[in-house]
Amino acid sequence: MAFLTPGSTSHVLPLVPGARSGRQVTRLHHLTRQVRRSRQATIGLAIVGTMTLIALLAPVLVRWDVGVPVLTDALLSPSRAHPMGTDELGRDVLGRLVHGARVSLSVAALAVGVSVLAGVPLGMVAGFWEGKIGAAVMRFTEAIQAFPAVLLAIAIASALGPGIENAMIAIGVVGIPAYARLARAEVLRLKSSEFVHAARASGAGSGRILIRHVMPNGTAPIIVAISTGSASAILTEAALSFVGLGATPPTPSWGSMLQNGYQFITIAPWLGIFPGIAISVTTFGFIFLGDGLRDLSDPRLRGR
Amino acid sequence: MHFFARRLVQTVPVLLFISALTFGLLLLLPGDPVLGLLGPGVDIDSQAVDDMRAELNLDKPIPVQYATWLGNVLKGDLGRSAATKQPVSDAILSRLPVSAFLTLYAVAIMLLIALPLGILSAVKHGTGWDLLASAISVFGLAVPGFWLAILMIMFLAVRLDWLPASGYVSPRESLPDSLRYLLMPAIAMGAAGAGTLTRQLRSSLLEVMRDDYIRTARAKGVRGRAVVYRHALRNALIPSTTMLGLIVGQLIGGSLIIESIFLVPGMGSLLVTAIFTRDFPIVQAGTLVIAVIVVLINLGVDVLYGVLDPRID
Repeated sequence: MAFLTPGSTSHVLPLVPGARSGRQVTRLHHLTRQVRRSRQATIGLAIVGTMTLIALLAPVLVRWDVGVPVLTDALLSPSRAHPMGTDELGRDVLGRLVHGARVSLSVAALAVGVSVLAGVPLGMVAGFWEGKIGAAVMRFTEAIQAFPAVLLAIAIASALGPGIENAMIAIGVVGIPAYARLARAEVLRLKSSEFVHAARASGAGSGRILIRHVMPNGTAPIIVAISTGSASAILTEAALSFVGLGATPPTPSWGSMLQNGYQFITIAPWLGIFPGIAISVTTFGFIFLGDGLRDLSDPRLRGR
Repeated sequence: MHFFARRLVQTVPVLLFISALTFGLLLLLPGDPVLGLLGPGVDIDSQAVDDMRAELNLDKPIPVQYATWLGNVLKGDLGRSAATKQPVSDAILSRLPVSAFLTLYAVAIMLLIALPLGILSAVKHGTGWDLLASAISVFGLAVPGFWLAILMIMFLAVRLDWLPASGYVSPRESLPDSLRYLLMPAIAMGAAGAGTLTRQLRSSLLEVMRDDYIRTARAKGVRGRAVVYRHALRNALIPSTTMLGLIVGQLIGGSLIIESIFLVPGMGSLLVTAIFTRDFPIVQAGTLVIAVIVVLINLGVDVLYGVLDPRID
């Protein structure tokens, strides 16, 4: 399901300019102003923002007893009391979806965190020290990428056993190559630029050049990749939960809700519809945000 | 041929890494790997456990274990299923043709959707058609394949009764029936790939259309449509071809769940059943076989790429 290959186009201008840090407020202001220039990025950000809010406010939005089975209310079709109906245990589907947002988004966030924290340094090293180290890192990422993302995640999770933490690790490992390759490409592009030569001439060591000069200028494609990567992570989490390797019951996860609802599609079709809509809208938001950010960071597409 | 040779040499370390990764899955199993391999409900003091331990050289260091395992794999010995005790290779060989046929079908459907859609959105760039095509392709990416499968079963099979909800007929028995049974699984598998390919084709066509030689062709008086098909499309297809290997790999990943939803007796459903029954030898061997196939597909695609683009060598 992870069909999103981030960073296929070249990125020339960074979203966050300047190799010096320390002006966080201006940067954030600059970023939001840029995002507003792209309709796609705005729509994507609105969806992602809303979903994040729902996930954060889930305990406030939904009554505490939403997860408690009420067997007399089993399989009720959508009504005023239960806008999205109830499941086979009489639990409110809307309430479970709202709590499921917490699971999906937190798994995605932590999994992407794992991929970025492992992938970016790996790629930077491979780009900076080409030759044997670089080639080894590249063959390793190719090997991981040879596994279809869902398959590798499922294989790792089935070895580790079901559970949210294991799902995060599995999805995170699967995502490493994308960020490693991206970071490597950025380092290869930047390391022959004049400001890097200047830094070297003034006596900076390799580590310092990499962290203080190369890294801040290579962030734009990584940010784009994080957005599309989050969409992949949500889809993979849903797939893992669907085969019973993600969140374990009674934790509500969109994927496991679909797996559950699938058994009742002839008598309670709403169980097979609403969780899918939740997954699709969220991934749609992340893809749109990523597309918009990519267009904004590509100067050839500016001013259109 | 130089390009092909270099590419072939690069494949060897990738295959070695893949085998190491799949072997490594065994080390992730919590507790005693022998118990994991034999499946649940095994008596720890039984003869089977001791036999397995000796067979796998588990008293030896990990590199020796890996070398022995790899040697067996190269000889075609992928171990035995924990559930049926049958050789894993038999199960895989009987399932592989089913999945291969389904994947080809899915790729055909994907091309049928992506080629016209990608061309349409690039040619009608910036119009409502472009927007529609882009919306469809993002839809293909955002909607999980297994949910699309559930929706199709609900509407096309249960409600309208147009297509069989699940099952499989071998193409050797009856090709039309086989295609009918596999239509929904193939669409569910191909949808996301169609999304990726449409987007790739659109952006590479747009890029090519800005090139000088296109302007030259137009200046010569070549008509709009001929410029697209005879001049632009040829070059725009090259980056899409490299994507094809990656996309087919992801299609195969999607087949895991989709095959089990539609009860198609292929590799995917074999793996998912193995996960539910904790039959780890099948999970491990199936993962390895699929990854090796994906590497070989990518190799084939790259060779094709060398043929298509004479500049590569």
